[in-house]
Amino acid sequence: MQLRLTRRALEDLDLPIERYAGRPATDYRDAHIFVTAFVERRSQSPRGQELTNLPVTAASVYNLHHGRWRGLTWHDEDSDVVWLLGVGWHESGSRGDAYTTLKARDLAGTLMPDEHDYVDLEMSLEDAGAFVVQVSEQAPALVAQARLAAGREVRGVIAGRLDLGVLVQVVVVANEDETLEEIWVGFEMPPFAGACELPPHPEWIQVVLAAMVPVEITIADLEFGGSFPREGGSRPNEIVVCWRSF
Amino acid sequence: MATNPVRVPEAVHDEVHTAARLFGCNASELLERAWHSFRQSPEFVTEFEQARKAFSVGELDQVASHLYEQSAQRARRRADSVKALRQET
Repeated sequence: MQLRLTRRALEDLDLPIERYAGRPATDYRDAHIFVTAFVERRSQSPRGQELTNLPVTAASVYNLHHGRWRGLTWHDEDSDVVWLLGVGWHESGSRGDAYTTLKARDLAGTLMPDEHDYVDLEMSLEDAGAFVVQVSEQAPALVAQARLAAGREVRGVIAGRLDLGVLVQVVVVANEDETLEEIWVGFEMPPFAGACELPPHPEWIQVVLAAMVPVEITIADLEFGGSFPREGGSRPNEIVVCWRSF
Repeated sequence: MATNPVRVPEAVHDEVHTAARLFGCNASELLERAWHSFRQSPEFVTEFEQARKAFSVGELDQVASHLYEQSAQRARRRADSVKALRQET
């Protein structure tokens, strides 16, 4: 689960959008006292205790207090993000009171996360390029290494985040003067934290496989699942893919 | 045969069971056939094939652009689903 501020919440706290919009709040928890409070409380529980009914949006939105600061948070379960939607200064009865302002935003359709906020959750074109370059070098190299060590699992880390096992088995086809190469790939889940941006799952798996699978193999030839041929078989949560070629 | 259940929305579950009775097979056979058809479908095949071809000819920018485009589409879908929560009268 990530904790994020919408662009509007960043504006409310006078925090520079270009600096913080693409980052989880845990990265800049000390940038503002209210961000600290948001991170501390919502990392313990994605929901609060005080539910607020919005005038228009049917979403479970919770109040967050810190001193005279007031904010609204929403656990966006589909994206696994808790958003800080907006923040204001609480003065009961005042027209500029935080909750009055935030509810007015809901009426105007500017309270909840918008497309810009969701784009901020995604990797940039530059990050996508860096990821693809690393995959293009490291994924085929891992398969080549496994070929040299046929029959033995070779493990490697791609893009500093993806822990993979690759095993090449050479099968002699009975009564034919041919051998069949069976390649098993096991993706350890979840990916390691840090190092570089990753596309969301399953896109990164598709990209890594696309860099490994030879052109003559189509996706219809891939087998998903199965037991990785190592002692003990597949690991819990491991995603196993296999293909065969002559 | 695996024993772990696969959860599907109730409407899909009902439809698959009804269709299986119409086709004279059981629900698991019908789902198996559906999966095999989906494996051959352009929806399943195209993206992977494009990425694989791009890697094979070194068109890395194309793979990166495609990833980025998928991200943009996902952001749009998510924003639209939030808009759909509005209950304007």
